[in-house]
Amino acid sequence: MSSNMIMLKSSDGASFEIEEAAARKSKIIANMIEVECVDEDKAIPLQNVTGNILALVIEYCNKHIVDDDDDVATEEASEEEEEAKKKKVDDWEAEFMNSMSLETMFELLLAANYLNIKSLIDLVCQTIANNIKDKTPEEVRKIFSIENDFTPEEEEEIRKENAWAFG
Amino acid sequence: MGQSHGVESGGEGEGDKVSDTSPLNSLPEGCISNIISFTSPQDACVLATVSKTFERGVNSDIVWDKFLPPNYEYVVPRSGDSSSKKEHYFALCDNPVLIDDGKKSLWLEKASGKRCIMIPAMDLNIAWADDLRYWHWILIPEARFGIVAELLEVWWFDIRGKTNTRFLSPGTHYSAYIVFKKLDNFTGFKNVAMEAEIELLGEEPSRRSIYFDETVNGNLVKPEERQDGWMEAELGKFFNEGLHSDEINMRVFESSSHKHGLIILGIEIRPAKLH
Repeated sequence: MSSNMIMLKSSDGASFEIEEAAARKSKIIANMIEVECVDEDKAIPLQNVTGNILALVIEYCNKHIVDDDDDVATEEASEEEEEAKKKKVDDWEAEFMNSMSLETMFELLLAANYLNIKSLIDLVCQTIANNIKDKTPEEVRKIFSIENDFTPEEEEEIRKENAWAFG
Repeated sequence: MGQSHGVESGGEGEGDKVSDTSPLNSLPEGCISNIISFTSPQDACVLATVSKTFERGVNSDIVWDKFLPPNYEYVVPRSGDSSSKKEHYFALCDNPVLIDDGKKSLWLEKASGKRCIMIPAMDLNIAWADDLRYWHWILIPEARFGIVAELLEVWWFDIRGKTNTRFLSPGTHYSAYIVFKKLDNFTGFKNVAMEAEIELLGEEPSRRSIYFDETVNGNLVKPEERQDGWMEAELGKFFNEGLHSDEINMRVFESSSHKHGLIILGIEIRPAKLH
């Protein structure tokens, strides 16, 4: 049985074909399908997502739709099998995020947010969070290229308020 | 991890005039809060001092809702009022609340948000505690539960406590401590090895010998003084996987010496310090 395919079009005009089941990972697209906004012959335009980011989103969705199918098929899987499967997904996700630059991560987060793909939002947030754990404020500013916009008085005040965390 | 990959364009350590290029500026504030919620309470409070955007992100309920235990509303008094989740979080760190029909108290470790509990003496199983010749129940206002157990004299020193892993944070290494105070007539504990045991149902029990007297020279686990003036001795460690709801049994036992002069506050369980 062949599954339904739908077309997505990125902001820079690239078209991608994706299984409907994978596309449904996005709440926004799932809703569009529910209310029959999707014309089989026409691509869904995604104005806020560029082609290279959309390719990543689709890679993620394709990977996770397969896993969800597995879940249904092996409802009575043993604890070990469950664990092995979870580890496989974790490994894939680690690999998926590993080579990505911080800038790409932000773009991917924006896209996941716009398309409303909860598990991808969580994955990207967790990865960015790992970059800023156990860091000083100065290091975090450097990582994100952000400026310290507190006045010296404000900074002293907020440092005092959170002094316990610097122990 | 942790290098500033992909953002080197901002110039070398100059600090200012780089904000235009920060990829963070394109993110809605909810996203920043979401990222912060994947760190720890301690990290979040450090991050609040990074910039105004971060400060706003850290103050969001999205962050603290994640750090608070699930269904905490049921145990925190006045959690329904208008105060923020961040305020609820710190209230739960500083002011323990009663749980399990008032049988134990719960609070959060500030840096990690992990749950800690205290089982008061009243809810421990103390051998001979119902005989006034051996143990007394006394009221002391500074103790969290008011009532503590005073040891008058006993050879058979046997204290057992139990609880359930569901009160604790999942995926966490814990230590259990017996919390006590020495009285003027504290005797019978010097160089006496007390047997401590922790058993998580279905697993090998952890056993060790500990001292209640910190002035001895032996190399067993010794008690330490706490900030609140009480003493505590570590009974052992265990890992709470958190997948199931398991019973934890703890015991401290000794019967070879004539012992006097001790007050038992309870058994405290909190995240272990791992080296």
